[in-house]
This record gives sequence, structure tokens and C-alpha cells, in this order.
Amino acid sequence: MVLAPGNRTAVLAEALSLGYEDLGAVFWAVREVDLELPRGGSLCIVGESGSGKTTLGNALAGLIPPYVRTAGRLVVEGVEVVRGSRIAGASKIRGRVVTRIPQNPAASLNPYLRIEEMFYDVLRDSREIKSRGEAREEAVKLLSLVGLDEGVLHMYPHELSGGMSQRVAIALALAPRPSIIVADEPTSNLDAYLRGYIVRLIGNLNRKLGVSLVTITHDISIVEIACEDMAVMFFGEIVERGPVRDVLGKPLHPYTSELIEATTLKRAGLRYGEQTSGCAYYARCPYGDEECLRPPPPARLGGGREVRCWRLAR
Amino acid sequence: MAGYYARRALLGLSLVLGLTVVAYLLVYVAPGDPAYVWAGRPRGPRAAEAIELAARELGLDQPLYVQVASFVHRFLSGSWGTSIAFKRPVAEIVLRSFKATAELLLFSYLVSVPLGLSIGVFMALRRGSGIDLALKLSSSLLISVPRFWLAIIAVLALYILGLQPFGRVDPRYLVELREVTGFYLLDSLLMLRPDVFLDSLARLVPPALIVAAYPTFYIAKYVRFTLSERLYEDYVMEAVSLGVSRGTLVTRYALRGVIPAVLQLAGVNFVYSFVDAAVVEIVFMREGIGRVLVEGLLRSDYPLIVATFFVVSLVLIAVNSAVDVVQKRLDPRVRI
Repeated sequence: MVLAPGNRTAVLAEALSLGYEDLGAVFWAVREVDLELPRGGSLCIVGESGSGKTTLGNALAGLIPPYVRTAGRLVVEGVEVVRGSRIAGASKIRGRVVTRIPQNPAASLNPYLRIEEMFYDVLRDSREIKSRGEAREEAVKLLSLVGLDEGVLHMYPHELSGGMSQRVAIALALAPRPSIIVADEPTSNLDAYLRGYIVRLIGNLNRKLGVSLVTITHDISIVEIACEDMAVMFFGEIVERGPVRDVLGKPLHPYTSELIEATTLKRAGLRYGEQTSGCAYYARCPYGDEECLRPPPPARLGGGREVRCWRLAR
Repeated sequence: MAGYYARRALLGLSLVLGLTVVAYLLVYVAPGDPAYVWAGRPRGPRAAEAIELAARELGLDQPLYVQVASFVHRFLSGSWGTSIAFKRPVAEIVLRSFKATAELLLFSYLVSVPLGLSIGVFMALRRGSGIDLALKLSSSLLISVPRFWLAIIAVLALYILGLQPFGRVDPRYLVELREVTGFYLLDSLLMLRPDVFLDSLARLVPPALIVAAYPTFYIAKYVRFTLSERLYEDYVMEAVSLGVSRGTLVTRYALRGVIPAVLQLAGVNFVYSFVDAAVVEIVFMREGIGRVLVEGLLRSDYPLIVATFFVVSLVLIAVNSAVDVVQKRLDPRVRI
């Protein structure tokens, strides 16, 4: 764990943009995002598929492929990862101060290696544990944190059930002793029973082990259990953020209301429209007017709440 | 596990049996009259009688199914008959030339599999760079250039350099050489004769490299493209995010999934390399199974053709079975 004294911010993003170049044009998957996660805090990033939340989560975990275009600034545990178009410290943070719990754990475990071997590789490279016996002891400790016994060590990934592979993936993410964990859609491949268990397990990493936690999800029902703060993403922008209780209790952005409504499965039909240079949500917003053709400024409402909508800016 | 190996062996054996029958039938329908050759290409008024006599001696007057049955029986019980063209036991000719070709092919593949893998990994890790492009172009070139052309160029070049590229070993040594294994490299070492070893090695390397060119660059290209994809596989990305070092990442994560396929590829390529070896052996005037097959075909020497065909098939089946078994051992997901 790298603890810089006096530094109380785990993640700081300032006007961070991440994009992919396609035939000369840049498609910005993440647009001018501002984020701040205090050390020991927990943040859920909520949004639908394609909203750029996985790209953002990967960047926080130090996974920025060289072909990604960047702008703005990203600082993780005092290490400047992105500064303008430069990607600098990504390799310094990943697997050291920050790890990721993957979206699809079954595909994220090396099918050719026993679980023990994977623990050995991670422990050796991140924590300089060279002896196999020591690595094994450490792996058993980590597995007990997620409720698995050492029998799992001899197994290959294809011999594990979905819930077991997710728990192994969590134990592996804990192996480098990170101060931040990014959980990318940790429940998307699990049934309802396991979903509750895993969400509580991940929430406890933050509450009991004190790890700063970023959870990325499209499932608004897990937010309350996993996090204290949340940010709602739409088309690469953060449209609303604040403490979970406040945002879910009184959603201010029309998209947040739409997401909450979506969990009741009562919504039929989808509306799509052309993206404008103004408000990202304009094409789907029931309240849109001419003013929305200009980008809305963030409205800061106190108590950490921030909403990007002209209705509140006025 | 044992059941799988038994089934694989049984499958291999039935393939061999089937191939022997097919080989006989192919020769049967092919143009050319073995009896005519056996009788010594007779002319004159009593030629027809001589040919008929030869046909009876060779059993060619029997119905086809009897011919096939007695052939398969004789063949599998080890009597492969006498070569019509060379008038010597077929087994002796085939075994001797087979060893020569095996020496060439084994050497080629010992070079080409590791070399192809290394070039492929090198290219994949530098994909998009100038050296990647240069290697891509030269591998396409070396894959598509005809082998005989490469062989002729190599012979000319060696000749200009004053090196003697022909044959398997200097004829001077041939008298002294005691054939224990039939592999000259090994035999010369057993005789404790480094000069003979170096001479036969110097004659082996150029043709072996020409035969190796195809599998090497085929494997390199395959590894280049597959590994590039693998590097973005979920489990590789996950290892990256957990801080696993680059070397471990490439060898234990990305490459692990590629190696079984490379072995399969090498196994399949082995078939093509037999044909390549035949061409290269002829240009370099080496003994070999390919040369024997060509001469046998030209002279309707059916015992020789069938035996050659049989041995080559046996090797290919053995190689591919071995590759299958190795692949199963490398991939824990494949159930045996």
C-alpha cells in the first residue's frame, strides 16, 4: 500500500476525457468528467451500456491502452496518470495501489493455470513474495476473506462456478494490497441470490478493510448496499452526482429518474435521437427545450450534489 | 486417460490399414503395367507370353479382392517384397531413405518451431512497427517462393563460395561410415569423428533451412496474429490490472493459449514438408524417401510405391496423434 502522508484524496479527475480514434475522428467515450473520491470512500458509477463507465473505470485502474486519446487530468493516490494528452503513471498504479474486479470473472481467470499459480504470479510480481510456500499461505488467507477454502487452489477456472470465480477474482484483486479497488459490473453475471452476497462482500472491502472503492454498475438496486456516493453517467458525461441517499431519494436529473424507473421493469420502448452539441440527454429528455441545445453548466447544490441540467441551472 | 490413448492408437491403426488398401488400389488404377516392367520390358513375338508369366508371378491375374487381401496380409506380416526397379528388398530401400529424410525433417522442425514462435512473439510485441512490417513482407515472400527455386539458388551460392553442398556426406567418408542409427549426425558422433560430423552437418543445414522456411514463417505469421488478439483477451487484461510483469504476461498468459495451436499447425505442416523435402533432396542430390517415391512412380514399381506411401502415412499419423496427445496435456479444459 502506498500512503502519501497528508494526501487524503484517492482519486481526482479534472475535466478528464478519454476517447478512441476511428478513421481520423476521435470518439470521446468519456467527456470532461470531474470526480473526487476521498481515501476510504466508496463511489458507484451508474449508467447504461455504452455510457463510458467501463472506459472510465479502466482508466482509474490504470488500464489505458496506448491508442486511447486523453485530455484533462487524472490523479490516483498522488500519481498523475493522465495529464492532457500524456499517459504517464498508469503502469505505476495498476496492480500496486489499484486493482480491478473484472466484469466477467470466468473469462478473466487464465484457463491454463491453476488458481494457486495465478496467486503466485500476482503475489510475486506485486509484493515480491518469491517463495511458493509463503505465496500459498497468503493465498489461503485471501481466499478465507471471500469465504473460500484452500481446496480451490488446486482447481482450474473451468471447474469453478460463477459465484466461486467471482470470489476468486475478488481475492486476487486483494492480493497486491491495493488502497483502491475498481469493481466493474461485479454482479452482471450472477443470479439474484449471489448478487446480494457479492455486493455485500465488495461493500465490506470498503467498510471493514478500509479500501477506497469504485463500483461500476448499470444495476441501480445494488448502489445503496455498495456505496456512499454515486455518479450517474450518460453518454460519457456525469449528469448527476452526490450521496446515494440524496440522489436516490430525490433524483434531480431526468435521466436519474429514468434509471430508477427502469428497475421496476415498467418502462416499455426506448427513445433514441441524434446527439447534439448541447445537453447529452437532450434527445431522450421529456423536458427538453431550445436552451438544452447549449451544454448545461454544472449546478452545485451543496452537500456534495452536482447536477448538469438547465432546469436546475436556472 | 488410458482409454483415450487406446482409442487414439486404435484409430491410428485403422487409418493405416485403410491407407494400405487405398495405396494398392491407387497403383492398380494408375497407368503403367508392373508385369511388363517385371518381365524386363520384353519385345518380339513371345513378349505377350512373358508378360503373362510375370503377371501370374506377381499375382496380377487374381481377382482384385484377392490381390488386396493377400497384399494386406503379406504387408502387415512384414514381407514387403522386392523392388521391381531396383531388384532389392523394398524394406531395405525404404528404411534407408526414410532415415535420410527423417534426419532432414527432424532438423528442420527442431529449428522451425522455436524460431517461428520467437519471430511471431517478437512481431506481435512490436506490431505496427517498421520491423513488424518488414518481417511480415519477408515471411509472405518466403512462404510463397517455390522450394526448388530456393534450393537451386542455395546450391549456386554455395558452389560459388567453394562449398560442396551435394549429398549427405563426402564420398570419402562413406566407406568408413558405420551405419548404426542411419542418422549420419549421430553415427559420426558415435564413431568419435568430429570431421565427419561437421561435414554432414554442413551438407544438412542448407537443405534443412530451405525445408524449414515454410513452417517457420507460417508459424511466425500465425503467432503474430493470434498473440496480438490474445493480448486483449479478458484474462490477459486482468493479469495486467493485477500488476503481473510483462514477461510472465506474454509467456504464461497470452502465449499459453497459442502454443497448442502452433503444435497442431506444425503437425499439419509436416505433410507439406515431406513434399518439400522430396524436391529439395533431388536438387541437393541427397538420398531420401521423396526421391525413392519419384523413381518408383516413373517405373511402375508398385511394391516400392506402396511401401513408401505406407511409411509416410504411418509417420504422419504418428506425428498428428502425438500432437493431439500433447495438446490435450497442455489444455486442462480438454477432457480425455
